[in-house]
Amino acid sequence: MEFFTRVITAIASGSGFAALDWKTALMLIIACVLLYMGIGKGFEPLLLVPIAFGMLLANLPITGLFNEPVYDAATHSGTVGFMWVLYQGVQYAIYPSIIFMGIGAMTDFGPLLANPTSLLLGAAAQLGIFAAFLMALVLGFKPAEAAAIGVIGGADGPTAILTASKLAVELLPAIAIAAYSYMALIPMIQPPLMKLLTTKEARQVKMSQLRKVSQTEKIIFPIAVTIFVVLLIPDTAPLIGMLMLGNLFRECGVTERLSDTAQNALINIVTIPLGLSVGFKATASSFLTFQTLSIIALGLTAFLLSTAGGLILGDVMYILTKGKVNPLIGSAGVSAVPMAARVAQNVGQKENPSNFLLMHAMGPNVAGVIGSACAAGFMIKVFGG
Amino acid sequence: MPSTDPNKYILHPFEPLTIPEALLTAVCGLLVVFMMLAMLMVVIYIISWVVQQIDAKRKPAPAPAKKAAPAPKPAAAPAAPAVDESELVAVMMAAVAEESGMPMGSFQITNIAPAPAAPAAAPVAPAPAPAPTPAPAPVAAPAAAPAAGETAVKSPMPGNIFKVECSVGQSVNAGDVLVVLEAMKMEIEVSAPVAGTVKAVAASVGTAVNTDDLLVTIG
Repeated sequence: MEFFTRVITAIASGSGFAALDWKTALMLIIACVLLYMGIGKGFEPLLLVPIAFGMLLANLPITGLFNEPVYDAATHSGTVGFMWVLYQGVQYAIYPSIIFMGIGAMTDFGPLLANPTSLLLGAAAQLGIFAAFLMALVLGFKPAEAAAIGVIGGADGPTAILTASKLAVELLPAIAIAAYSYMALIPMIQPPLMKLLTTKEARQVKMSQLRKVSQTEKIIFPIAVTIFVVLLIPDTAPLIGMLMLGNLFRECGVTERLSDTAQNALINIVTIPLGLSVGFKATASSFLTFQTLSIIALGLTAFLLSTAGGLILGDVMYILTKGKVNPLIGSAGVSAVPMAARVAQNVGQKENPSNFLLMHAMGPNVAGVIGSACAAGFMIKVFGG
Repeated sequence: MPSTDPNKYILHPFEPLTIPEALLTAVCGLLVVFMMLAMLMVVIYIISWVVQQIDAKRKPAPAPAKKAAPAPKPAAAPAAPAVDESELVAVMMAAVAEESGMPMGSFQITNIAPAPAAPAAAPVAPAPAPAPTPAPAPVAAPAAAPAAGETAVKSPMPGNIFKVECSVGQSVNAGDVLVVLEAMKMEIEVSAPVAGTVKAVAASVGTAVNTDDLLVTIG
């Protein structure tokens, strides 16, 4: 009997329950709420489920999942935490680049090639990145952290993760969760702002058909962009290089199998460790801070300002072209592909049922991807990530 | 983590910035992004221009596209073919007569719609003996081109036909949904521009359409 009590006590004191404190318990509840939002509410489930589950695992105490490798030279044996291994892909920004390759393989740059001026809309929609950077500085974040927070305004998950991993690793989970939440909330966040910043007349503008883009142009485009952009800002190479490689797979016509893998199987394979790793960084000590709340607030502001930036340039183009450009496509300059373009289509069609803006909005939308990668490259360059 | 090696950064990543420094960073960043994308815009224009020059040289005279435009019609059609097409029409009439065994003169080829409005060929109208057309068979738009008073509802963008929500003979009001397209994983409703009766439905579920392909004719 005495032996039995001893065994039970030993197991109980060595179990996770003994190591649980209220903060960790709160994190477990947050993880379960996120799981509910993903599974029950269908809120970006492909990302939220791995992130929330990573969070759950991270906050269960004494699992040793994140132990650094220990190598014993005498016996040629070693141990390493499983999650530590997966996290290296985030630490060294490997996953975001592979995801960008998949996005490149999914994206048709045709609308952008047919209407290159939409690149300017994609640039204007990066306004929020720099405005939020300033606001984060005012709130007392260090410059490098402020830069990483600002990039949320580009509405581009992989870019935000890459920048955060280089400039502010402790803030990575909050930044990633904020970036992906706002991307999912685009259909709710953008339309009120779109109505506020455009006139009814301008919203009803029908745009002329886009010209047909030849395959040769589509093949030359990714090659030329890679040479050009990477020469100008070498820090964008991991993002732009992979994005354009994916797009070349798609357009060149002889690598259909690679294109298919990049945009389906590979992107799914990478999303799992990426989500788990991001969630795994959300431990009680790093996540339950005032900073997390400010990041979520700043992210929303950055996002709204980016949308506004695109819309304002859209209005300017509407005036300059004497009503040939519908300013609604400016809001698609935030780089969430293709969500932002869909919102532009929906709002435009509500105003005028025979208005079809989807393809016109895809131009600024893919330009936004390039734009936020450039903005991120700029931030990394300036703060030496 | 950002490195604190002074050669790696332009501004120190952890020391507070002064207000002018911060403002300049933001303005400079936005300018850099604008310049990059503006330069990229120029690059794209140059690429397009070069590609078009090369394409133009490679095939100086594209194959006569008119071949598909005029459609064989039974004698009922009164309109005369346009002058510059008369030679082509004569050749086609001979070909139709030869293939179908119909005597010359029992039918007339005419361009029933204004050429730019209906680039796709209309099918052979049911004649005593269904004559095969000498022109390449129409693929995407088998319905007849709209005559006066009819409205062609065309596809506004490339996509797949997801649903067809009207049938021949049905009367529709302006704004009623005719066809639902699927593009970019989103459903896009194509609605009737005018009230009328559905004369023909060219769209069939599951097929891919391109911009300006005929979907429905309303009369």
